[in-house]
Amino acid sequence: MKCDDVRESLAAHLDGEIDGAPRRAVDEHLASCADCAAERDALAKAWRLLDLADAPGAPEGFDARLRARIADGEGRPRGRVLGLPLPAAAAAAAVLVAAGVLALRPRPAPDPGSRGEAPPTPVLEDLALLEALDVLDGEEADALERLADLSEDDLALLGG
Amino acid sequence: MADPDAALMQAFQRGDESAFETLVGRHRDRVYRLAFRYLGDASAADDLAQESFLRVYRAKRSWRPEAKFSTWLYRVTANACLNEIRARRVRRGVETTAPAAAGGSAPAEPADPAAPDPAGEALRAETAGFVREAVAALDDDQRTAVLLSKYEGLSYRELADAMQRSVPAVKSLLVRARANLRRALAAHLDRAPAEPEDAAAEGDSAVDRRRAARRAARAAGSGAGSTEGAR
Repeated sequence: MKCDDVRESLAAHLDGEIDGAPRRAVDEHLASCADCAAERDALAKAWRLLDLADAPGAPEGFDARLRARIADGEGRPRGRVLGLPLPAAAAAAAVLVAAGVLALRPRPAPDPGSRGEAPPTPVLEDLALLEALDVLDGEEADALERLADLSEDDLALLGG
Repeated sequence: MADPDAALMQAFQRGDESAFETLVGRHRDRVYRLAFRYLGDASAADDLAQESFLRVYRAKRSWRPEAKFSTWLYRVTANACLNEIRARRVRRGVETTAPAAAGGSAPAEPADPAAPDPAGEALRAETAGFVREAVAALDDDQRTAVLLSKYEGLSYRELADAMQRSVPAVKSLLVRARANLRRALAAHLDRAPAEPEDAAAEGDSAVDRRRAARRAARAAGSGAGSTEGAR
C-alpha cells in the first residue's frame, strides 16, 4: 500500500469505518512506515483535542418555552406557499383560476408562435378548477389542503 | 420499524401531543448541544434548538418514516443553524464597522478560580477556545461532518443520510476536515487528552461506546466490511 493511499484512509481507519483486509493493509503499512504512523498519531491527537470543547445540555425551562411558542401558534405550518404569504398565494391562485377559466373558453387553433406565453401550469390550474366546481371528494380536498399547508420548512426539506 | 422515535412521531401524527413532548425530552440536549456548537452562544443555541423542534412540530403532516428520525432531526437542526450562520455573515458584511473577528472566534471560558488546578484549568479553557476556532473555520460541510461524527457519534452511513450525501463523499469530507483540524491545531497537539488506556476497546464516552457497538454489529453482520448490516 502506498503512503498516499494510506493517508486517504487514515480518517476512516481512526473512525472505525474500515474492517477486514483493508484495515489490516493499513495496519501493516503503519507498522513499517514511521511517517504515516506519525501522521496517524497527529490526526488522532487533533481529534482528541476536540473533546476539550464541551457543550452544555438544554437549559432549564426549555420544554416550557417550547410549549408556550406552540400555544402561540408557532407550531402551525407557516402558511406560505412557494415562498408567498398565504394572502398573496390565495390571490395568485385566484389569478390562476381566472386564467384557467379563460383558457377553457373556445378559442381558435393554438398559434405555435405563442408557446412562450403558455397558460399557467395546467396541474395547479386543473386542481383549482376541480375544487371550484366541487367535483373533489373529501379525501382529494384534504390532499389539496395539505398542498396549500406546505410550509417553507417542508419545501426546504424537500429541497434538502 | 425498530426506530422508537419514528413510532413516537407517528403517534404524534395521529394526534398524540404527548408523543411530541416525549420526542423533545429524548432529543432536547442533543439538539441544543449541536446548536451551541454551531453558534457558540447559549441564547442563540436556545433559539435555534427551539426552532428545530418547531420545525418538527410543523412537519406533523408531511413527515414520512424514510430516514431514521434522529438523523432527520440532525439535518433539520444543522440546516437551521447554517442558515442562521449565513444570515450572520450577511449582517456582518453589511455592518462594515463591526470588527472582523466578531462572532468568528468563540471566547475562551474564564478559568474557574475554585477549580483544584486553576492553571491547568486556564490552559484547558484556552485550548478549548483554539479548538472552537479551528472547528468554526471549517467550511459548512466539513464542520457539519465533524460535529455529527465527533460529538454525536454518527457513522458514515448515518452522516450520509443526515447530509444527503454519498458515503464516499462523507469519507472524503472527513479526510479533509481532519487534515484541516490537524493543521490548525498543530501547535497544541501536546495538550490533547491522553489516549484511552485500552485503545482496542476505545474510550468510554457514550459516543465511543456507540461506535464500538456499531463496529461489533458490523463484524457480526455480513463481515464483508459492509456498513449496511448495522442498520
